[in-house]
Amino acid sequence: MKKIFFLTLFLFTVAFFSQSAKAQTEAQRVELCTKLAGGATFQSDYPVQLAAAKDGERAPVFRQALALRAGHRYRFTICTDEESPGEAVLQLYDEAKLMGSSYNPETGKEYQNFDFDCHKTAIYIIFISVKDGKEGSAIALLSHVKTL
Amino acid sequence: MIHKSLFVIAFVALVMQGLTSCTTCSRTNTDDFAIPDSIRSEGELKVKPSVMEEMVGNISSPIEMASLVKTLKVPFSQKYLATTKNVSNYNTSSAKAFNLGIFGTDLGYLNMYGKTSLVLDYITAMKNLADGINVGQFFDFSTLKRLATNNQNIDSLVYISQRSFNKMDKYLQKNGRGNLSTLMIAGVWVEGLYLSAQFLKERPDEKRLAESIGEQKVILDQLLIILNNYKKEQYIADLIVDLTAIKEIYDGIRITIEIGEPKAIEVDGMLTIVQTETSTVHYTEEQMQAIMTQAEIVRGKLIK
Repeated sequence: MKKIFFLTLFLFTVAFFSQSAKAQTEAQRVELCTKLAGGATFQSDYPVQLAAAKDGERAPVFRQALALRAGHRYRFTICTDEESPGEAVLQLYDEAKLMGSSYNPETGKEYQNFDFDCHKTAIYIIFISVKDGKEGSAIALLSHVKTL
Repeated sequence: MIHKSLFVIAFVALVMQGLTSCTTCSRTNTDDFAIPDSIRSEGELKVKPSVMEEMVGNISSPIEMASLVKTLKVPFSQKYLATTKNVSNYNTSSAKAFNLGIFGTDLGYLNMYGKTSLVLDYITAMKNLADGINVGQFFDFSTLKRLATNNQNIDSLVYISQRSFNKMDKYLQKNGRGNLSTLMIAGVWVEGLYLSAQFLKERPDEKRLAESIGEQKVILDQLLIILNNYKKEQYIADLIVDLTAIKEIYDGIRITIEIGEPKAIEVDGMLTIVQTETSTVHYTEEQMQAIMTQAEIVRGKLIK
């Protein structure tokens, strides 16, 4: 009887504290990533966790629609978690048009941040995927740099 | 009997653990938006309108408005801010959520101008309202209070204010209270429009301010789509009527787009994408005046 009670208590404690620890870790990851955004004013964060692509299927992608305003410079930051098996890539789209990416496949160059000088108020979409269909986790940030 | 209860508790604990361990997975899938190939190609993307209705972020933000007026060197003015004295009048969850948005914009404006002495009043009001809709635990009142009282790092004040607001918003969305999240966003938008209108009154020749008000046509359309998901709620139905009155004025305003391809510029390793596609707002002074007047009416009614 006592054993069952303590086992239950243990499971409940593990469930509760692992959640708290996870929340704290996410806050720390966002704060760290914000520092890498280099002084831009924080607007939103998007924690992303993507599973590996299954055989014969396309890899999962995180997407988020965003309202961006003309006359402002925004900064997009992508911080792949240290323990992430794959590198996260952030892409910004205006409808079907690719505007910018944190990874240039032609040069193989990766960018932790890229700025976007917005001249059209509209709804844009950011897509976050993991290179080579690997599993991965990251924090993406939207920050405001300045009024143009 | 006791064994059974203990088993239920253990089961609930494990289910909770399972559910909460995937809080960031909700917007990922492998069907509608599976585009990792697009890293290498520019294949056409199709976004279902229903998805757009659910998830548009940054619909309203005080940052851009405050940054614009600061750039234009419009002096700070406390007289435009919503009074915190009416907090006790906001008796419903809807009124609390909406006015949390109103104060959120005012706080953003105060922060951007570094007016820390006034911040305490607003964060106290916001904490009250946040507690009233059970999201007070996400509003980092003690840190904000410390930063404001000691007139410390303004950047941290802006960061924690914005992040607290986002956390409340996300929590409401994830917990089936999207109606309140939408009202918070609507509150931010209404106050942003109202403040911009007041600044334009002060600087009637400032074209940038008028244009920023005109561009809100795009944002208002999205906001109304989201609000319509909750139109069965009376407070939101009334708000839709008020905002539709503003939208009708906006309907007369034209926004034209000049097509262009984005240009990538790299300086010292920092990549900047310059959008060459531009939008131009075509409005008359009468239309602008009508929007400003209507914004004042709507805002005045809702913050009483």
